[in-house]
Amino acid sequence: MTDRARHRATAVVGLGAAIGLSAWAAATVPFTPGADTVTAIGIGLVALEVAVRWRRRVLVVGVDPDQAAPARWWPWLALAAALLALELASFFSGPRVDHPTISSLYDSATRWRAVKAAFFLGWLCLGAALVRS
Amino acid sequence: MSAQALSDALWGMLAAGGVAAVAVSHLAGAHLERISALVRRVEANRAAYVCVIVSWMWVGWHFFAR
Repeated sequence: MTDRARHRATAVVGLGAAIGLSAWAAATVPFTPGADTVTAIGIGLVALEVAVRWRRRVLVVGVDPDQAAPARWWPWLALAAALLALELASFFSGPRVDHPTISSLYDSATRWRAVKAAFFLGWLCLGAALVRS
Repeated sequence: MSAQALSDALWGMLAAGGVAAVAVSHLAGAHLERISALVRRVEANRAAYVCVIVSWMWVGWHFFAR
């Protein structure tokens, strides 16, 4: 089997496992052993991958000098700051129905299992991307 | 405008801003760094990388388990 075929097979198996875990997560309720277990499995898989890749990781990443200019990334910082400010303002305001936080918006959205499965799958994919980037 | 409508509008604007930023960052000749490049920049520092991974773990535990 070539490296490319092996890589593709790994990706397909990984995606299948992630979809299976997401379907399981969507059927769980927070604060129950099932929710703890499925979340711990996701965390454990990424932690294992981090441990395996830790020694191989290239620590000095080549950065284009042109990209080092603050103007390149400050809009992301501004967006993150705005998100944090709105989250804090909402958290310390009330009632929650008038000032929803990210958590309450998430709770409203995940009344539907498909939405919760999509969130879980997105979280797993983000973890995989962070490890493999 | 009610407080709820204002909150919804602000969250909507933030979400739209995020989507727009991602789209702009992928345009040819964009002056905005892609998220993947930002992540690589963070990963160059092991402590920062560990913080990012732990944050990802906390988000999952907070939203799905607790």
